[in-house]
Amino acid sequence: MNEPMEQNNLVDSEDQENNPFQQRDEDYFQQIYEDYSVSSTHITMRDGVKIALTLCLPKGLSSGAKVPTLLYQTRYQRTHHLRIPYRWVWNETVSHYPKTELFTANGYAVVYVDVRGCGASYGSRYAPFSEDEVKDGSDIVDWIIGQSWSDGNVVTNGISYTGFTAEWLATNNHPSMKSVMMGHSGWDPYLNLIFPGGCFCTLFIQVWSFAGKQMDKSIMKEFKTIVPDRWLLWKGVKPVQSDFNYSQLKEAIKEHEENLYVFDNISDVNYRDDIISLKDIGIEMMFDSLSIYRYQKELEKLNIPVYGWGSWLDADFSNMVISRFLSLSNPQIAIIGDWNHGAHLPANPFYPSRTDVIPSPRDRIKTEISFFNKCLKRDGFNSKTIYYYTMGEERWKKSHIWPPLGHSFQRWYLQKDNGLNTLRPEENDGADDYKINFRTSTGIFNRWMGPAGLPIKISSRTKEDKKLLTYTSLPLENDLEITGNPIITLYFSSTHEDGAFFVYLEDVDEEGEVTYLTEGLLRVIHRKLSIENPPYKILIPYHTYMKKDALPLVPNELTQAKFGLQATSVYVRKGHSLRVAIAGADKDTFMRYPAEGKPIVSIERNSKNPSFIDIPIIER
Amino acid sequence: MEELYPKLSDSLKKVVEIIEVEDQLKIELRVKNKDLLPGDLGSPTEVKEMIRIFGGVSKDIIMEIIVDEKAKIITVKLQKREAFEIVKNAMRTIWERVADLLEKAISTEPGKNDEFRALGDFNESY
Repeated sequence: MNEPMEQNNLVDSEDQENNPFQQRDEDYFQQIYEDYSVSSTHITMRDGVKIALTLCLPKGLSSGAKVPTLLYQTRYQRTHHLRIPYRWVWNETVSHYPKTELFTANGYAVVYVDVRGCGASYGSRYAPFSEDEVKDGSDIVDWIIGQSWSDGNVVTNGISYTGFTAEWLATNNHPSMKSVMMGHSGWDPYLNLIFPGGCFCTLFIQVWSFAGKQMDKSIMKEFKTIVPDRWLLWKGVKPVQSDFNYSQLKEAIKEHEENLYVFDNISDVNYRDDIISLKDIGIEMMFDSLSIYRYQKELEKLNIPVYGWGSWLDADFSNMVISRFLSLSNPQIAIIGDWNHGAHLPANPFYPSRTDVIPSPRDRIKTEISFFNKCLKRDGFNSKTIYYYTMGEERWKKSHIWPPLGHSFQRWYLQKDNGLNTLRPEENDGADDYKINFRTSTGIFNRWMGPAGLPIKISSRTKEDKKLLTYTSLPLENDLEITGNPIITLYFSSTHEDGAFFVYLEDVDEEGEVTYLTEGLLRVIHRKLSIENPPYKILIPYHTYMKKDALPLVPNELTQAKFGLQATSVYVRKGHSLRVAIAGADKDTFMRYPAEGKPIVSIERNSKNPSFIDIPIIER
Repeated sequence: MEELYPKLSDSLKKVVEIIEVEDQLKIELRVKNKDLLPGDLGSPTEVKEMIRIFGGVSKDIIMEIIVDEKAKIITVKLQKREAFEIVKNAMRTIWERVADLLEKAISTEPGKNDEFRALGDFNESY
């Protein structure tokens, strides 16, 4: 595949202006302290549960000096007890490198917390983000501002689970909270991670629940297969420093035996409003209980600045960054780039051989510190800006609105002979039968497994497309920027009552190499378009995923499914073609719909029932 | 944290002085890190695992480990000259291996970890 121009070739002033990682005002980033001290302890919550935290303070603070605090709450062990010889040269915070170094150098205290039921904290958990876990955040902030070194200001950040905890912390509306930053996290775990498009993301939830169990027992053995670096490095969670003989850690781990895990409790769940019954402890809950979107008013109450970031390639989080940007009135920075979950690795599908992520973690964190410093200095941070990276063009852009100026939809119709163009079909009849191939897969290095910490390598679709129903355009006569959510409308019938569509938008180059651009999926029983207001702003058709709106298919009866693909920003070169590829399964990642049988779907592409995709383009 | 890896073996060489006492068939590891807390030096089991997994020394080699927390000295005592030579040679390159394995581990694709499988397991109990 011909890789387009390299990112580094573009250094003109507009690019610098639009690149959020070059927006750093150096006045806001200063190396004040050289080193930091590390200590750890348990603090007691309102209900008596003891929570483990590690405190990192800049070394050399003058007597009476007060500093702001970065709070970071995790369920993945706040710091690690390293194996020897690693712990002879690195301290317990090394897994956070270079975050601790940079924040403390800038005059922040950094507090790492094990949420209840996890790490070296006591207690147990029946679900992530429980009410108790969220309330603990306030108790911890109270503890922080009561310390002699605290200036009374607390900011919080995190990536993935810790991004969720950061945002949940903000819902407490503690007056000491001054800003919140969340990366690769969301408001809606049902759609973001667990049931994208209503399809159960079995593999991720299974792996995530299993990994959580191991971590809560502080046993690293099972990580050898998936993440051997962590197995080599980590003996387990770091006990608090007074716990020389591990007795407190053993007690805490004993309490974790009561924990419940998501995968074990949702085998009967299909709908967003299904009751999740935790029989052992007599609790019934729904996904809404885990969903921050219910707390938008709380997030807006103190009007604290919000910084949300994610990737075009990671789970549903690009949609989530956009929804948060659209929904919240708070001052806001939103960033969407081309990296993997957490921005440790590159994931740009146009550059499958790239190894270094841009920005580097160090540059990314410096930008984050600059943002926090600006918030704490109250220099009038009150705007909303979204920065987004256009893959293939390799340029950062910024906008104060979304979709950006120049946005419109271009309709491309599925045509006979597997064609795709902008002309509505004229024939009265015409359909393509497709026997669902349940062996199709995006592998395990896809956007849905990204949150498990795996690389995202879903660049080439050339081979897999042979198993799919595809529609390909003629080579484009001009370059085309696609930015936003494509929306697919399919008129179809099926031989079965249940099923799913996995639709991929792809770039086909002059040699026939196929590159992934984005995808969308929908379990077809959820296809009813709702006229209700969605619980937060979205730019795609709204499906409630609730039981009341379920519509099983009537075999062989024509129907329509209209749904959004994941938001993206890509640049398709002149001479390349667009392709829509349709599958009925993604076998390694999602549950099979229907569970049994071999459905044949018939996709209509005629004047009466034209199937099409609306592609969001930016006029130039 | 990958940017720390290239400096790892040099850091270990700087922090850990290895003294070979040929006539007593013992090897001392003097750890010069003032920030270590009690327990950080490691238990005898952990030291044996380090020598076995990172040094590539067979389980069959019998060694006595004495950990002096106060002096921050670990003493590895061998019973036979042949065993002493094996451990001595392993310790001369162990820090490079510690760093190499970590670099390999970070770049290993999930499921393609035969090398790590062959290393055996750590004792996971506290």
